[in-house]
Amino acid sequence: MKGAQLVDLTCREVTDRASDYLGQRLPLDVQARFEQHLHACSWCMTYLTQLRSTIGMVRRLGDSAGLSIGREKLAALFRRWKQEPP
Amino acid sequence: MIAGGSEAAFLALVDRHQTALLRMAEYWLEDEATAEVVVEQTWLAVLGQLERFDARTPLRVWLFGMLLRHLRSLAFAVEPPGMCEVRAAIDPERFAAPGERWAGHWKRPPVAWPGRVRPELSVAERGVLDKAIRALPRMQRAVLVLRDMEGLTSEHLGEILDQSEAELSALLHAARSQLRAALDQYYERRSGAR
Repeated sequence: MKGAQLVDLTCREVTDRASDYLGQRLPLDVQARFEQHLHACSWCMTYLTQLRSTIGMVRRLGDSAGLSIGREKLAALFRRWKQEPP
Repeated sequence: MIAGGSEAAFLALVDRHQTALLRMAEYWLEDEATAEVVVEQTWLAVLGQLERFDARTPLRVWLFGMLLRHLRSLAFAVEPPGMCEVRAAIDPERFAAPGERWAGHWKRPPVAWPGRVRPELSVAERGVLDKAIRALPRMQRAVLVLRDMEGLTSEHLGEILDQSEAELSALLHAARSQLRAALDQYYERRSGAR
């Protein structure tokens, strides 16, 4: 760790605000301090990489085939609704 | 078209959105059969309210909104109190305590995960993620699924879940953190077993 550049934000603060950073929701001055910290702290960089991977993996989990859709049932539901709308 | 009675138009809507709606309902209810019933009821409500649909909202967002309103009204799926708290992103023990040298900085830093060779998830990774999602409090689960799995914006989430931006951002980060921790444990165990 390169001490002087880190003291501005602690690692704990960086991990607490990492999602806001990834979502570009930090105020600009905090974002600059956040990035300064990342340049100096490979541990927090590792953490951020892991958080990014986690998000990507959740997205891929959603890409997989889902539950069966019950199309026939819904078609019947639609026909009933059409006959007698609530 | 649907309001005019076109079954084909309705089924096109179903084909496009049913999987995502069912998935969200199943994550909330933790029961496939009940999820299917609730989603059916949601479609019926959608049909009944088509005229009120405001085209400025993406249809998908409107559908999720209808589903979530329904899910949150179900008394048997209400979170027990105490389950709703937002935990720290990382176990505080992993940082140097106040008063210690380097207070607030890593005492037990994270170890990089093995590089991914294939972009697809392994069966084990799927299992770890799925289990971790189900262990989350319901609101965190919903925020994570809608935001990270379905790709809705935080503005849309605010409308659907009726939460402030700050609340949503805290829920999302808490959820992601739990998942990251679960994966971290899994990779750590795996490398230890080698």
